[in-house]
Amino acid sequence: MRADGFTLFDGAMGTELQKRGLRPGALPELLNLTDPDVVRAVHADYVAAGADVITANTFGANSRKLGSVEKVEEVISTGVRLAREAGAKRVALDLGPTGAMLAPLGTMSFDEAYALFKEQVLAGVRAGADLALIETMSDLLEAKAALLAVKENSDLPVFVTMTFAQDGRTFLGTSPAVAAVTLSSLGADAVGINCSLGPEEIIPFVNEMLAWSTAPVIVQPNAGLPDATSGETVYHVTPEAFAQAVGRMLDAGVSIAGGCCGTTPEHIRLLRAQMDGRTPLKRETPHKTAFTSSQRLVCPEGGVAVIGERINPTGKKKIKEALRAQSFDYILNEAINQEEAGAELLDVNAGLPEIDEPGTLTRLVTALQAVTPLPLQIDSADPAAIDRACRVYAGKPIINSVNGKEESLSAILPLVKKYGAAVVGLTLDERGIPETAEERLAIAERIVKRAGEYGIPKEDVLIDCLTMTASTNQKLARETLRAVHLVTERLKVKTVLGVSNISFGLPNRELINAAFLAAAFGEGLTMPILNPLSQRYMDVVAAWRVLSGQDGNAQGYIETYVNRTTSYQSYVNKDGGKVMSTGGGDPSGEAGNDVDIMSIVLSGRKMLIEDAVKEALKEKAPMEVVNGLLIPAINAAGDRFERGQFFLPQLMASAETVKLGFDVIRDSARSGEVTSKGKILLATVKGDIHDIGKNIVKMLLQNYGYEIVDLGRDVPPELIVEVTLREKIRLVGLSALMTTTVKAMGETIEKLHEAGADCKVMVGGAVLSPEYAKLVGADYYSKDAQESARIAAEVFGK
Amino acid sequence: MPGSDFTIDKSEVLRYLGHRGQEIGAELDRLIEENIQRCVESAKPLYFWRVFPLTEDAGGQPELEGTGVVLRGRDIKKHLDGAKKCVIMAATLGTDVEREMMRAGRRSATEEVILNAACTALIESVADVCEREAAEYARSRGFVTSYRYSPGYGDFPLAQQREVLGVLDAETRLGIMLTDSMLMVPKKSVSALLGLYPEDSGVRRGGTSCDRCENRETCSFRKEGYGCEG
Repeated sequence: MRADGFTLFDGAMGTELQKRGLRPGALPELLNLTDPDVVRAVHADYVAAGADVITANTFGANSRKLGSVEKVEEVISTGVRLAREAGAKRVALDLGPTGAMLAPLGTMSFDEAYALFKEQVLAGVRAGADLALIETMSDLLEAKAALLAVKENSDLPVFVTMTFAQDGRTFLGTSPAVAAVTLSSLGADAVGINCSLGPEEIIPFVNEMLAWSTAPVIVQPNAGLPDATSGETVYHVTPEAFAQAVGRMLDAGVSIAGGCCGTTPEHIRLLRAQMDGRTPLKRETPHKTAFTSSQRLVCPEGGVAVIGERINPTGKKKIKEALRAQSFDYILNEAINQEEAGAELLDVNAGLPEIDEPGTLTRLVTALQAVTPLPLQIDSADPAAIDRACRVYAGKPIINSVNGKEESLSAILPLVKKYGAAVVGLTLDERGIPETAEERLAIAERIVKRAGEYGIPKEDVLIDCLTMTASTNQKLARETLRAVHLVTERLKVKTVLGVSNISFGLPNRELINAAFLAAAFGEGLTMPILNPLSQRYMDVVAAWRVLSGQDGNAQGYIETYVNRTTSYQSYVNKDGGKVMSTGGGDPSGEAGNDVDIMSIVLSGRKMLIEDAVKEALKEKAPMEVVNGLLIPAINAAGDRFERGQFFLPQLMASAETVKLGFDVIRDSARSGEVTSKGKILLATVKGDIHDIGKNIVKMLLQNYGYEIVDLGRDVPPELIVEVTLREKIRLVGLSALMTTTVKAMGETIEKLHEAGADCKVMVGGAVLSPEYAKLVGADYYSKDAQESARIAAEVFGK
Repeated sequence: MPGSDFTIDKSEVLRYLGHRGQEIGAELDRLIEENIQRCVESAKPLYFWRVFPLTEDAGGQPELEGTGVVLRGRDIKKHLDGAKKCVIMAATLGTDVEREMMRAGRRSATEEVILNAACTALIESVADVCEREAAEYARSRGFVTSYRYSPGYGDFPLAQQREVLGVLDAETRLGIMLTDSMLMVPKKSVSALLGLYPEDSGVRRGGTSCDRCENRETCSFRKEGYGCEG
């Protein structure tokens, strides 16, 4: 491009081809082969209009749409050649979406999307393209896959644009700011907006991009919204109006522009005139610390932000179990609980010695992105795990962590750069954790400097001055606080700090932690890593936001606290976890122990069951409570359902009530006395994303005392086999909704047999029948959730 | 497409939940109301329709003129018998509500089931609005429309979903994509055809496709709270 000037792209290809007879729904890229003259003529018109860059007709030329990689090669090499023949100064390899939705919402994996883009990139490089244009993206993760495919397989400059709807979000909920931060951090040479709406409508989105992008900003708007009420698509923005509106964006700092749907060579010719009459604005690059998920941007500038620490197996039995079984329900709930308690980011650690950490962390990161919009902090000591988890993360994560050791710096910093992440730098090195604040500052300085050598800006380095236990060396508490102060003042970087270590070995740890937290805020701490379910910590955070001015006019504080008293004992149980409230209190005013368990379950009053079961445990053994009270109650609910006295939600509410009862027993001191009736694996098979039936079955089976390993939806057969063998599963339940996905069921069952798994398989789903179940090789057909309970009873011989 | 056009009929939600007159306690009623509200707040309804003249291919199957798309199977041919044109339509609730359902499922399977039913009711309502708009257009030009017919009905191949969504450019316009197994993502999406028949052809319109479907009593999709297009 011209370093000193604007760069002008061409306008629409698709709508120009339709004018020349392209059928709706047909693949425009195939015209490169069938009607090269038409394609070349469109390019030539844009060359004549003054475009600097001609976009080759390769938008959808991926092997998923074209059917084979040979076809990709042919369409792309011809496409680039046609642009060149038309007289293009520079030719862009055009990369549009794959046409499939990535997991977790869809079924395409990141690696599959990446592989499709890689084929296109390699073909484009061979064809001699001068740059790559990734455009019309709705999914930030897909845009990232394409961007990495370009950067890892070529030296081409790469521009990335996304398309936004009227609400200022992509179809998948990404804002212009999130796109700008994430894609410019990932190293895109320009980021921007294409397609979407008309130029006037996208001006606010463009301004948002300009405020956040560290890369130049590119726009390629439509010629307005298509009007199709008559069934004919018409774009209304005239070339004059288009050029003037884009001209205003040039004044605001946009340096690369062109047109999308509905624009014509005339639109581009007039835009050329706009560019020629101006010089590009010298835009100030923003230097702001920011983290993103596909749906949220967190910027701690001028304030503090809380990182939730609870997704970490250290000292947490249930998280360990969940990671081993790859059954993430409990962890996903922890994520939602932390979010609701006020965490703004979540630390995610899946480090257990006996599991495949890279694979597990990657799956967990994908699963978390489906249920929480919070940006993630990827926490691992294994560079391979960090690498893979960062890859599938849709956004700009924090990597936790690097330290001052050379081995760590050279392993982690390249990953931080490659994935456009921020990083936590621990102030320790080969000699351990230094005692004095000055020595820790020196390590921090070295980390920041080395990061800079890798091209990681200072705002993306967060220093952790490391909390030492006060009870073993009291004066170190002050040194940590002093180090936070020095790092903040001298290096001018943000800090993170895990606070809870400070109180180890002392009674009422929360009190010490809260005081330390407040003191650390006073020294400049930006991002505490803590348990947000602790009301006391969140109170300190809320109070500090008032004192620091982050909470303007104390509005947030007043809203939250005007009617709240803070009596900590009632908030927190001995494990530091929040006592979960499961309902809106007890409107009936009845105390739990006065109502019998049967009627609580049948009326689905979840908030009463906990006390009732605790009461029952005073007099009865846990197994008596299970077999004598809970199971008869769920049986009664099942009977009512079968007789039509209950409809589905009533049965399920009863089932959930019983499950809470089970949880009370499992959490009680005598949990060891309760024996599991058996372990059942449930999964919705590969290719299928309809899992509600499976979730109903899970709920019910849990209530008969079975342990459920739920692998979720779109589960590959290999994972089902692996977990079945490792967890010694005796009953596997598979669900599928469509005839098209039932074949994956057969495949899974075959693989289980091949692996010699000693288990029975039951299947269910809307299109299944007893005959169909037999056909796919299942041992049982489960027509509904009740039936699955009968099957389980048969298999486990109860 | 202002969101206020779309409402969720609570009785429809209850129907999808399999309700047959059982007494609903206050707690469950609150849960149903809450999830209807949650659905309304997180859904971003979008729809789009286009009219295509119909021709016949060499084998006598209906073809969308100018697209090369031939509609396959005996049933769609029978359905479009006498139709001169065809509306292709698609509607979706968007991805936010999908995430909301996944999140609800973590919290409580009961809520997931109720939210799913609310979303089914809403997508049907959005499809109804789209259908009415297309039907009005048809009426203004002297046509009546029949009920919605979708890939996967009868022997109309599910695999034609790709062509149906393709002629609408539904991916770019509505964000509807297909998995390799032909499932629409977002799940709460609908695609359909509407035949346009001359006013004097005696075709009666009205009702939803479920109402007219011969499988409505035994349909297990409906039992689970889905429309059969997902």
